[in-house]
Amino acid sequence: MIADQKMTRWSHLGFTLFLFFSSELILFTKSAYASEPRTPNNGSEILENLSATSNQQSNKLKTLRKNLETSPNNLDLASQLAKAYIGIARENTDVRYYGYAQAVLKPWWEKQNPPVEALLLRATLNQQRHQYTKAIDDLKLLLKRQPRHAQAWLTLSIIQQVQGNYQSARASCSALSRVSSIWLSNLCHSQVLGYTGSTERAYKMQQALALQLKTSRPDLLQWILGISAETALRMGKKKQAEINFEKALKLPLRDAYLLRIYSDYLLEENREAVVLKLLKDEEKDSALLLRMAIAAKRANQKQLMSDYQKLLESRFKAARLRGSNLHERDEALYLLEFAGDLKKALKLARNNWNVQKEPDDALILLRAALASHSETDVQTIRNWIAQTQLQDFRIQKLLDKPETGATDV
Amino acid sequence: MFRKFLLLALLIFPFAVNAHTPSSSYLFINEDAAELQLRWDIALRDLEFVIGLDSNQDQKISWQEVKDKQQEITAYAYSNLSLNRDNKSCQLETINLQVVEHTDGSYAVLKVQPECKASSGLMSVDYSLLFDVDANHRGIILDQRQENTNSYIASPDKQNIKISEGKDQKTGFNNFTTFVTQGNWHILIGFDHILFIVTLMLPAVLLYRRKQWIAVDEFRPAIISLLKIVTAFTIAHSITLSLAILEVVSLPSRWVESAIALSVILVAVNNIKPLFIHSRWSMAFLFGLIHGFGFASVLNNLELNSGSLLLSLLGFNVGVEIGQGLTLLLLFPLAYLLRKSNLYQTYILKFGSLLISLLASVWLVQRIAV
Repeated sequence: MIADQKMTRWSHLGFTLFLFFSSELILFTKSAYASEPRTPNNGSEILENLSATSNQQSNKLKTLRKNLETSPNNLDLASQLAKAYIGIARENTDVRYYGYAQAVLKPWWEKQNPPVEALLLRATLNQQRHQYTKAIDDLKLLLKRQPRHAQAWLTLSIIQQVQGNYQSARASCSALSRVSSIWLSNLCHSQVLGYTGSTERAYKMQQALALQLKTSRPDLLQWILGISAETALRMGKKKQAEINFEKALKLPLRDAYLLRIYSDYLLEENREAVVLKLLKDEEKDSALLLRMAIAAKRANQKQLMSDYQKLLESRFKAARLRGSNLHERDEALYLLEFAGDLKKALKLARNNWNVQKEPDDALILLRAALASHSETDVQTIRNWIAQTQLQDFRIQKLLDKPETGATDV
Repeated sequence: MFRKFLLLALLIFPFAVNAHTPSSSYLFINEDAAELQLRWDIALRDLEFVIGLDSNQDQKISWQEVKDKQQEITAYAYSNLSLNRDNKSCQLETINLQVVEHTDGSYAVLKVQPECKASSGLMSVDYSLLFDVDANHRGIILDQRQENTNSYIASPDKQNIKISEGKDQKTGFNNFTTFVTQGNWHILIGFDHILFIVTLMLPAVLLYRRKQWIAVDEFRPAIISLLKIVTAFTIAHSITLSLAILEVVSLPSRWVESAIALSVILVAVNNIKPLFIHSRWSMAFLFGLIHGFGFASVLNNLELNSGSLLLSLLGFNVGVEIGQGLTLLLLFPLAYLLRKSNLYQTYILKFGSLLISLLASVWLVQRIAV
């Protein structure tokens, strides 16, 4: 009897240990960084699809690269090539090309006071990496030397808007109006108005701007329609937002930013099936991948959700290995949506808020704050709204009724 | 005006779209039978940019195209990497070329056997791959010679990386102790787990006969009853903890946290009005399964390092057991000594359980309402 009991106790222990070690073994072989290297059986197996650059484009690039190799300090050549790279980076949403552009500008990158052209490109690349302070310093330096530089004023205003520095942004728009077209300065002003309480007026201006635009510029038209849709959403006017989204999506261009804001809207409207269909081929874009994961979760597509989740997590991990913080807002959203570490979500949302202050940044901080019951962070947003007069339907809804979606568990 | 407009349009878009990650290569350092082994993963898209892999210009890279360029790939790669040991450089010899999929595309894998003059001493890496053409490129160096992977980032500003020699496994051990502390800490601050096990312990020194509690005569049946409960609880939470960490099962945390609160209520009520008298160990097992998911959410948040998962998971569990053991070691002798008194049988057992069930009910309401 006693022996029996001893047996069972020991077999329990043995079983426990067995469970431990067997699970450990599986865990241990699961590689954390990538799948296992392999040797393809077939030489014709396609390993990578390159983003399509036309032959003409790539020939032009080749010539530029070759010429630059012989005279790497020629700013004219360097800026031509850097601009071409930035263009490709934007067109294909491929950030590698920003790194290529920066490398081309190496002789001027560390200089205190490089030529105007180098300053502008350096500011643009720093803006892209969220190095807003550096970008602003360069632009201010540039404008001191060339106060009539329209592009510099516009870029400066846009960065100031991202930082939530609306007074300076407005001043930059006014400066822009003195050196550029009314159309462009109106566009600039309409954005600032839209962030500072005159949302209705901003919307009307943006609609008018879209009408004035030549049809030969579908990219600009798409951009304004997207902004317009966002402005409408901030007023809570879903119908208008929808109309603008539809017009923008009909244009023969696929813009990642537009897809992101549209899918956020669709998710709010519980139209996850549309998101899954719309973004089907956009896995390479992490922000869109996150939206697909959320949509899959809501549509109860467990396998799909877990596939997307795994991919996203390895992306976040790869970014962390590089020491990059460019994904903070999306990572915070990910943690909130997938019942992750709420404290970490709040930390990331706060870090992001310290860098940029667009309505989407405020929204994510508010959601994280409500999920972790952090009254001080909620107050940060309340103060921000009081200070800027920002009108945003989604933020207001959360502040009025915090239980409606802080975490969608 | 429109010309100016065109010029502007290039740079007008303010949105930083971070599709695709910037370029990284991964250099893994391993040791096999005291021989250094390197594995270097370089993105095909990067090699295409610097060497040109797409020979037939169809905007696709095939395995054949990669194989054909093996010479160029290794020549380019090794001219941008030097591995030094004890300040002497090592000869890099390719064993084979393979491919691997990373999260942002396909990579060429160079398996490298370094021939070093010194077999020990400080190791350092000079890394300059792609830096001349891509200022955002980073070399991620992952030293996997110990349980814990140490990672280093080579950048244009920091091309010389010194690899620390932690031969004594100290880091692995530190990691283990960290997780023991975490597990221990969790059971102590995770008041619901400790309350659960204490509530289960309370009647272990008693027997339920003719609808009332009487004290056990001997120590032996009391301790056996307790051991059964603890063992069942341990097995159960180990199972679900492992399953959850393995991602075999995942449950929403609200559900788990509510179920844990509910388990405390049921166990407490069972003390007042026994229903499962003979199989408290099966209650411990059943509810232990749920508590394991609760532990998993904590462990998941501790940023598991895959190289040290074995130690981490074991450490965490050991920590949980220590916390649990210490509490019981403190309370069980007390319970045994007091078991015959009215104080124990009425106040501690019944009122105590009532209080516990009330407290757990508050938790339950809070957790459901979150």
